[in-house]
Amino acid sequence: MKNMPWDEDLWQRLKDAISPMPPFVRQRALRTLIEAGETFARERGSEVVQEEDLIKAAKTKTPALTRQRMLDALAEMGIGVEAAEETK
Amino acid sequence: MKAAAPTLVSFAVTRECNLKCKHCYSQSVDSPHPRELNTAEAKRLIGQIAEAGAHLIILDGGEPLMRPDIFDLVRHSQSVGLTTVMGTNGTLITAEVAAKLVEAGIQALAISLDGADEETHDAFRGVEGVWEQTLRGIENVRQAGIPFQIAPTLRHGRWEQWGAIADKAKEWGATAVEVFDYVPVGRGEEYPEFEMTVEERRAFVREYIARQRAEDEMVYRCVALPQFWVEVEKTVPEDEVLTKFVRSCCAAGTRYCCVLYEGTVYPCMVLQEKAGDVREQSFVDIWQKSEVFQILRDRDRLEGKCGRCDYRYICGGARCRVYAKTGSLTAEDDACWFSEEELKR
Repeated sequence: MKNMPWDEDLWQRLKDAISPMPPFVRQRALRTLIEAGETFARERGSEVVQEEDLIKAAKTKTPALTRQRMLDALAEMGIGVEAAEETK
Repeated sequence: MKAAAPTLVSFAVTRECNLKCKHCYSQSVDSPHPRELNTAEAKRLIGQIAEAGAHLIILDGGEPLMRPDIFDLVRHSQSVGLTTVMGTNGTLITAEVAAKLVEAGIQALAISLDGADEETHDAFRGVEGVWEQTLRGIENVRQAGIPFQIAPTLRHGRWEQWGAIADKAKEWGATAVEVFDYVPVGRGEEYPEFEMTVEERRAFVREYIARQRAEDEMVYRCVALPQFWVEVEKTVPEDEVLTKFVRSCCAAGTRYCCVLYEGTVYPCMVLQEKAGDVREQSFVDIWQKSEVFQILRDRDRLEGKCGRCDYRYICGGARCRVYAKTGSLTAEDDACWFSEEELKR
């Protein structure tokens, strides 16, 4: 699924965050986040996907209807807590 | 920090039930609770659950189809934007009831089946002939085109039947099997002997994992057995974990809670520590501010082995079982089969 290295801890937390989702929803969400996260990492010249890339991906590429839920799920695992709060 | 919205909330709409299940967490009987929320109160609560940001509501009981205004509540729940599903014993679902459920907008049903044969199911459900009635109900649900899952409860000495139940569920066209580990709460307190041993739980989890790995269509979930996810992570390749397995617990107070027919809010149907009362406080307030929920959300407050565990934010131990045994929300789960070393990630 991944096409470039991810921060190991971030990848684990992302997997934890999406693990309660039904598999078909999760696969779609994961594909979107991976693709966008890796694009954002490359754009800022990084060879590794970091938290800021994932947060940006979640905030800009997740459909509006499910965005808050995704940010909450990430925040539950300690990713981008501020981002989840800002949007509430 | 403001609480994240609940993913799902179950609302036990009535205490009334036509069965006498030995494990009934809500102590259901053949009459409604004298202080049961009336239609207006139930609709107000459903509105508040939507306002709290929940995505899905499970209407259960008791037997929800015993409640005369149930179709109205389903319609209302739909109208406020909640994905609406129902937990039922299936015995009252005639073709006409199934059609009414479709018309009201029900999106899925969870039907309890506690044995792979008539004898086992009827004995546990406390009424003879229930197996036949449940199977008729399932057929009517199938004919009406309502997606459904089968929900067995695992118990000591009989847990191995779950595989045969899952086979039947697949044959009948169920979309999922949601397995409940028996927790001795409610009427179940009278039957502690039904609780599985640690060895049985571990054997079940291994079987469950093997079955899910071999399955491409059916989804399995298990409730009140959060250690299963640790076993999944340790034994299943990452790509399969991501595409096949669902971490369904423990979400008590973090992504899920339960409201009883008379307004009491619990973190979970089997974790019966009162978090609030919707007649005294709005559901939104209870969800966001209840001390009970705050404790459960902060897994750094867990004690002993659970507190030291690297998986505490995805497992956290079976809080329901710990609470039933010790009265503590944070004590360690002594039924965890992993060594401290294995709990390092």
